[in-house]
Amino acid sequence: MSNDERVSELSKKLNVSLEYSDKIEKKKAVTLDRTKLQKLAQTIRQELEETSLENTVHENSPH
Amino acid sequence: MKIQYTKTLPTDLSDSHIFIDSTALINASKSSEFLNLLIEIRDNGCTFYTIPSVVYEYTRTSNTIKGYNERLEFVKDLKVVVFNRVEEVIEKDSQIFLTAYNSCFKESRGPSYTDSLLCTIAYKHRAIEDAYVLTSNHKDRPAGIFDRSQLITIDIKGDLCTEILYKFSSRKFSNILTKLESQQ
Repeated sequence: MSNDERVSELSKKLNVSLEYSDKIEKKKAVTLDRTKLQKLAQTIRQELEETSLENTVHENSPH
Repeated sequence: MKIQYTKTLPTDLSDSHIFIDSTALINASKSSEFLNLLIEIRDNGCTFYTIPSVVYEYTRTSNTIKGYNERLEFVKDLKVVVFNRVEEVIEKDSQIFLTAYNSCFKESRGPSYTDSLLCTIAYKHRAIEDAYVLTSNHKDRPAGIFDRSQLITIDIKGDLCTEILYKFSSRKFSNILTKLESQQ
């Protein structure tokens, strides 16, 4: 399989689309999914901490 | 206390438009209290916007497809709309603003690209009464052009971080224009 085909296959795993707009306008008030957001934040926080730890270890490693 | 802000902030911002910087997204990921505040602000009717380079800066904190998806989902679920005509806005009629903005920095140390864009977007939408930039990167929000409207102090694992709502000041901008006009 070529790299282009592999990229195409991997791209199928990118399953989140953001909302785009070309103008600023007032949006309706909505109730956000607090539980889902906090859960996502917790996962991301953990990853950020692990990455930060790895960087710290790397930076402090003797060359 | 994990967070400190004016208690009426969510209702005060109910008709506002906030341009969110990557620092705010990262801090919302790190602080449950700050995330709850953003949710409350959004639930009260405030609209969140950002720009593509902020999304890039936020998603680059991940090195897996799963992590990338999670960060995009976080932005999406926070109902942040991505303003996608940034380059066009800058090319059309914001060059003088950017010159004024750049004049607030020492020659050897200009602002970052993303911060320049966010400030330009705030300038572009200056006619909107309640439009702000939310960031904890204060060095690229010159006091010579922007007013600090609200401060949100967050305790993140013992480190204090201040997110500020910056508002474009026509009065301050006028002063810089006067200086530019006096240049040869």
